[in-house]
Amino acid sequence: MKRIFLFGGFFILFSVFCFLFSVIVLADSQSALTNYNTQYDLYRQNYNSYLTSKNKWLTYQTMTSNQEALTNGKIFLKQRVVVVLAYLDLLRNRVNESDGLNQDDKNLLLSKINVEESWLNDHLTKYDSAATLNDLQQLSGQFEDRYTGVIQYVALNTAGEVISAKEKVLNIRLTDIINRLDALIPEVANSGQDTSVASRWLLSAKNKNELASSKQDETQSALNSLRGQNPGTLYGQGLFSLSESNQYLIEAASYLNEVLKNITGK
Amino acid sequence: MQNEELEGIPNQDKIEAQKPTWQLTPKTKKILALGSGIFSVFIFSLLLYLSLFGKKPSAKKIPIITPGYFVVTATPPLEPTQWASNSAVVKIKSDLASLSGQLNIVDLNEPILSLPNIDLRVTFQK
Repeated sequence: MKRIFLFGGFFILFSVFCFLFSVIVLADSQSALTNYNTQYDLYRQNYNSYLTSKNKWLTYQTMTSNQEALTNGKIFLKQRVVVVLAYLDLLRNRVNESDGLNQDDKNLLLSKINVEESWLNDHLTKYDSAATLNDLQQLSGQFEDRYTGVIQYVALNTAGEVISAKEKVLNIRLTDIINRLDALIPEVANSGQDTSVASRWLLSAKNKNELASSKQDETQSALNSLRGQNPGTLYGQGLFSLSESNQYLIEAASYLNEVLKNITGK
Repeated sequence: MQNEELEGIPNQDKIEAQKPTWQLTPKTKKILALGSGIFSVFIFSLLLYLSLFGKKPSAKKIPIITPGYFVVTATPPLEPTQWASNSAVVKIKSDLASLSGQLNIVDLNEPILSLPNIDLRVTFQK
């Protein structure tokens, strides 16, 4: 009796722990999203202030306007870096909670994000020591080079992998159902039931599943080509291929429904 | 013929004599024959013309489709087989329903994961 109570108590504690852990993970992801949205709003506010003071400086060319442009320029450029850091943090959380990525893929993506985050954190400290508008402009140029050359690629590649992992999971589940039905149909045939129609539906579902897989390969190819010109366009093409893959999976699922109807008679 | 000329003639003859007689002279006959011939030719030509160049009624009548009554044979309802209650089949059915739901709602765009729209070309010069 004592053992039953002990086991029961342990089971309850374990369940509570698992529940709390999942809540913490979701809370991390949610807080990353909230933080990103907050920083983005601040960026837009600071951008307006930067534009106003820049135009004043360009118009009046006074010491006061120069100082104002320098102050607001620093705040704006630092906030720009903070936004990108918040964005990378959001991507990091999404990688961690992705079910479709294996641990090696996660580690690879996270290591790339870490490298860029550490560069950005180091870059952020340089703005405080900028004494002139030229200094700010130079620092901004360094950020632009890094962003267009590396950060953009790392971010889009990570986002693309996270999204395609969702589709991979669904594809795996559909393939599993196909395999189970493939094993079941001979049993049904042995029981004396006609399975010719069911077999044809299953074959059609397999064909659709293969088409879905080929579309996912196209997505992967697009994500691998993001280094270079027009990464945004390639990223968009990759997502489009993914939506085509999903459509094929939907059709395959409807065919599998027909297989079941034929087997069960309802 | 004058009445004086009828005196001395018997009654029957008088009656016959009083009847007007149309005198068809050969000339009149010729004119009548010619006229009726021309008229016949005219009528014939008219008919011929109408038959060749007149407005003909359409060869085909446009069918007027009226909804008729027809018997709809519904697909006979399937009868549940022995496999309908098989546990493996029930499990597959449930998994497939869950998967179909996921396929229809999965978000493959995730705009929040797109790059932030930031100004890269920052300059303090005109």
